[in-house]
Amino acid sequence: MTATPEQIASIGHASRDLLRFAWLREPRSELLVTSSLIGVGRTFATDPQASAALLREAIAADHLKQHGYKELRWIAQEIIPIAEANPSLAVDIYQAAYGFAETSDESTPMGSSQILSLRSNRRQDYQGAWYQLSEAITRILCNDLEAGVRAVARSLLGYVQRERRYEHHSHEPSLDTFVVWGTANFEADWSSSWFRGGFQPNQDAPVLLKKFEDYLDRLATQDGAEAKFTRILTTLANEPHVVAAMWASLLIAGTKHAALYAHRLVPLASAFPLMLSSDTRFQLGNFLTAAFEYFRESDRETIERSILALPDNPIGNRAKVVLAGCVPRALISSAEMRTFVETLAQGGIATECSARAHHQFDAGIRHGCVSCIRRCSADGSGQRVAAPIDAAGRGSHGRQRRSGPFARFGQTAARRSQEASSGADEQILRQARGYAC
Amino acid sequence: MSHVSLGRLSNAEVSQIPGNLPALEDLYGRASPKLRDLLQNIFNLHLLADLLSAGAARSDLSEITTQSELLDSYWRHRVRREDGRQDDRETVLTVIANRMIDTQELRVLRADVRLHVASDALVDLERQGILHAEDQGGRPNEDVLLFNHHVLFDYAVARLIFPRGRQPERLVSLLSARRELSLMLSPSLTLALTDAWNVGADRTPFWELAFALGATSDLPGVAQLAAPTVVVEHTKDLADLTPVLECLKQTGARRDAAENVARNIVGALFVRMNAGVPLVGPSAGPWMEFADQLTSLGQDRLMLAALALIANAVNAL
Repeated sequence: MTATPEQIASIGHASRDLLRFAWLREPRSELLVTSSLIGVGRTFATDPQASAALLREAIAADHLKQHGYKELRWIAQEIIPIAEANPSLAVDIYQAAYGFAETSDESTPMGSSQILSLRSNRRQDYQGAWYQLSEAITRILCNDLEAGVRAVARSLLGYVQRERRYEHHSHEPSLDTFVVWGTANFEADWSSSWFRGGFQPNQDAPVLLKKFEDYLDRLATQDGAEAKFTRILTTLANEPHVVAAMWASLLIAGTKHAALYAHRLVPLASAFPLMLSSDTRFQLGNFLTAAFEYFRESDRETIERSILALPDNPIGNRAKVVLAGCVPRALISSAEMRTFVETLAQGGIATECSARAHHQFDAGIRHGCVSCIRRCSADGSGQRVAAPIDAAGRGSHGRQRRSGPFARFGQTAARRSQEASSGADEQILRQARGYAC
Repeated sequence: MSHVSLGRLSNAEVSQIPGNLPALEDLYGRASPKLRDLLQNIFNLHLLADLLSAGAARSDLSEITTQSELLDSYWRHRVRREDGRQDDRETVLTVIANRMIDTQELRVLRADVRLHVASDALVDLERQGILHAEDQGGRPNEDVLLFNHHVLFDYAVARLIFPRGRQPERLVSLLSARRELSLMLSPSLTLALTDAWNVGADRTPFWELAFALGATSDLPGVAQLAAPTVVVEHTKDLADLTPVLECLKQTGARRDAAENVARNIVGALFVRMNAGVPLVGPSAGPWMEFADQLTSLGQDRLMLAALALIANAVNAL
């Protein structure tokens, strides 16, 4: 039997009264708390303001630490109606849920059976809420795109701040901004290691990122895909913190569906932080290769000039060579880029855009081995080759910096640089030497 | 001994019966849905047909909506009547009902009662079909008297022993003193409570009796649940529950009694729900509003009672 609107309103009001009472009651009754939470969630729309105020208490940091493992899953269970009635609260729930991780293995009851008394623990119980939130995110993205995108972005930020706070490479941007219809934010997140390196965590916020990428993939086949993609970009551009992995996901979608999204992603394709960061450079390079043919002439020039304008430091110079290699030769638009690429070739520094090359580059940066970053073949063919990477992510040359094969490359580059005729070429090769040595 | 189980009559079956009795056909045609529902019980149908054949006004009968009202009408036509002998007849029935209660049997020896009653009144009740002799192998055993139907015994007790719930102390004393009778007298208690429910706009007699029963902690559960069950059956809107909600805001023994009644109302709702009547829906009654009112009071036991209702309703959303 379907409840009438009046009955639903009464159920909602009573649920809120019950929850307030349950939180104050001593001793605490889990049955009272959980049943009330479910009631508040399911009748959220009967009084969004009052319901939101209560649920915000439930996700307050201190409350979440103390009771999250018992309460959060019941809120997560009702996240769809909550998101429909108050998208902003749903985003805050995601942010709070992924901003904290329960680490205790303290035993908790699982069900109330006296015959088969199963046990769980606080950590697992809390992770159950993550699972429910991750299951709901696709529907939220479909129902309210902006809320869904913000939920994913903030959840990932919480995850990165909790789990992936490492020291960043010097000269790579840790926090930066770039222009996408305003000022967009970028935060390096080491996702090249924990998400793009082959293994993807099957728990926590990375699951949301995977679902976000799946959504972007499906979006391309839907009506209004371009407009929705623009809304996603706009939403992310307005977020105060966006981790690199989110931008990388957009670039991946742009690579897969270049004809559809290429021109929307021009601002990202010419953004310094994305070019310089090892969390996005590979995805950006692939995107350039796939999408360059769809860019307008003026956009191509903008992107090429941006690549060439990367800072004159080891990271900037290396990124310049890598990304220049990703631009299809036949589609190079500016004379400057053409000169740059030709000069590299004459100097024995061939450009190549491949996953292996990017990984080699990043692995080299990570453990400081320049020869692992990239080297030219010693046979002078101009064909760049990448040194193999071992299981630990190190190049075959271990921690060699300026000796062995790299030294040979340095000699080759130096010899070829002598053959270069113009001052500009010398500049390019000097930078290339910076890249190489 | 053979038993025949008669379920509720279907609409088609009920519509066949009045064909032989034009007055019943006419009444059935004009009957309210509640009266039609009542007449699906073959005993009630029999009572109504009997009243019609006794000359009862159809306009009066068509107003009936509860079994209690039907029995009241039957009682006025068959027991009280207007011949000035109603007290004699009711005395006979009081003596017989008391005897049955004492022996906890729905039969009584004529020899045990005839010395205490007017014989002509006793015979009159037999002629009116209120009492009859026990059947023994197809022949009447005049030594043993029975009510014509156990519902008539129930109503006689409700009316004569429980005085239709108008004297709560007396009723509660009887049930407290003889707890073992609670099950036997439960239908009578329900009839008395139903009768009291229909008195006055504020239903004062009913609530006085309900609170008296709720205040007596040593009554068996069946007696504690009787008033709440009547509340659940007959409540149409939240205003019907105002007395109990008002009492819950007070302090003292009356509030405690009201709390027991309120909690038992929730229990009665679950009994009804288990019988297939939903807690929510257009015709479900004001029970979610009631739960809302209970939670606004912020009292522990009421909160837990309301929680049961709310949690169940939430599952149905």
